[in-house]
Amino acid sequence: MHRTIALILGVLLAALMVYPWPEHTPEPIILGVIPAPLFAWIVWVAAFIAYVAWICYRWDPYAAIVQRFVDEQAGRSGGQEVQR
Amino acid sequence: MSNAAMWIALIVFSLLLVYLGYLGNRSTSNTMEDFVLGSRKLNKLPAFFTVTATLFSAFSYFGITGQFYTNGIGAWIQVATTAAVGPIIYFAGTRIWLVARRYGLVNITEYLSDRYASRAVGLVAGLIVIVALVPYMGAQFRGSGLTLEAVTEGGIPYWAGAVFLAVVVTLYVMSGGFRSVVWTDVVQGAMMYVLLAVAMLILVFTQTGGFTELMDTVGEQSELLSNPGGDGLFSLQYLVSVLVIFAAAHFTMPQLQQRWMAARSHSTLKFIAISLPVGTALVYICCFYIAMVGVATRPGFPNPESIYPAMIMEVLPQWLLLLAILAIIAATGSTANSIVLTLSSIVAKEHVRPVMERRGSTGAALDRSLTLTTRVMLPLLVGGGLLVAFFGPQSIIGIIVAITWPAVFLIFPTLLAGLYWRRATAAGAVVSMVVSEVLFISLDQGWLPVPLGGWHPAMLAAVVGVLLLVVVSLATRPPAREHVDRHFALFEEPATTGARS
Repeated sequence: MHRTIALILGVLLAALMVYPWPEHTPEPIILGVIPAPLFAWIVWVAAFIAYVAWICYRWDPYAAIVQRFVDEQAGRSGGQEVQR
Repeated sequence: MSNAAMWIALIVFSLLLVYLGYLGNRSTSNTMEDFVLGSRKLNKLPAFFTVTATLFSAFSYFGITGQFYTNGIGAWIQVATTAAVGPIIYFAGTRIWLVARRYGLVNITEYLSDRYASRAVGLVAGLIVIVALVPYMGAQFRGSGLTLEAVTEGGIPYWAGAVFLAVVVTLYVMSGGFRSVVWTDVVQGAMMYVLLAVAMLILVFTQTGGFTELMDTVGEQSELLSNPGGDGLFSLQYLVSVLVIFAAAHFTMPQLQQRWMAARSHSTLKFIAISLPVGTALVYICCFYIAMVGVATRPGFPNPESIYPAMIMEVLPQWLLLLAILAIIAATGSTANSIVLTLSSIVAKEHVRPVMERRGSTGAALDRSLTLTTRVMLPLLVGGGLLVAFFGPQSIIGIIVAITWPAVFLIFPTLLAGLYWRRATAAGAVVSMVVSEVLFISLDQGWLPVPLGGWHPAMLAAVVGVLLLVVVSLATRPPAREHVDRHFALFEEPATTGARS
């Protein structure tokens, strides 16, 4: 389920990046300082960062593997080092 | 600007960097893992600065400003590429982080040699990155020389500016290796962000009266402020090409790979994935407004890539200009230092280690010898960069710097197959890298007249490379199952692993 959501969201966001909206107009200038298309791309970057954060912290499919590795390393080194 | 003031600033700045190098030296031991990766203890905040400082050279933000000036906001696509590398860092980066830790691997070519059980794979990849990155490093020294010569109106000659940067970088990298590189990157990265932002604010308010006035003035040239940008440059094919090539190349670039490998924890790696686009966006926002000031006040500027240094030389007060110039030198240094350390470790591991092993050197003695080799290689490689800066024809350097990222991108399929596909073989990897690189250069230089329909030549070369990797791998014998298990067992459930072994 997580995998499917991640895939759909990733493709959707990539499509929004390479087929940007709004096109061919700078209007409106948001708060008088940021043209709308640039604002849209800043929002896109924020959305993509949120997407990566969701993968890293909510889904985190490597969590169990990393934990197992860390436990194993800690066992080898007598309980020291290697943080998750 | 007076030569004496510039020299004093340079000397104070270089003493600070060398002192940081000395601090790095105090806590560095004579092992490869420590000298090249700081014993894999890279924390979050230093990671943010060292990754972004490594990524952005002075040329980057001159180039970015020039592209915003000429083609408008489509240049933002590069921020998207650093965002798009986030999932790659999480998925592929976690794998390489775990494997590198488990087997003590310190760079990408060593990983490839180990994974494919073939020296040839590491040698070919190493050759590609050395050919691509030594001129890239040389371009940083050239940048330092040209910048100092320009701001002092010849008072500091080109050769002195280039040699100055080369000597300072060599001193602090030789001294403390990765730790020195990271701590100097923290200082240099912070300078880059702060001074770029300060310069942007001063330019906007003194030259145009504020952001609203600036947008009103530039708004008349709406093409520059509209998606996808002006001059028809940012076609769909261009945007997709750049997104794919640079996202993959950011992950593969060997000096950045060492930062993924050096992460103290998985949490640090995740932080890098999230913070990289934030840092990039900050730089791009500053460059956008600086470029728009140029559009409003200096239309038709003959060399758009020089618009940023040209404006700050006219506008900033002398003391601030001095700091801004140091920030430019810092940006070139923070790119060169990472490249030279990475390349030295590649030469030591891929070229010198086999010779030492044949002579019977093993264990800790071998490791100490390789660390010494890495240190000795630093001035030699920096010397190579200087030779490029002095004697490389500008047109050739320009070509190589332009193809550095696509050339590294073409190693990505081999790297990804190594991480995810058990059946990938050394023969497939070597054929894929060699043929795709040759094809890319041929297309890029127009030696092979194939219509590309707006796509970047590296995209076609990558498709051919992937096909060859699959076909040749299926037609050749993979490494022994036990060897491949070393890399994949980490990612399988313990029960499965037990059954295999």
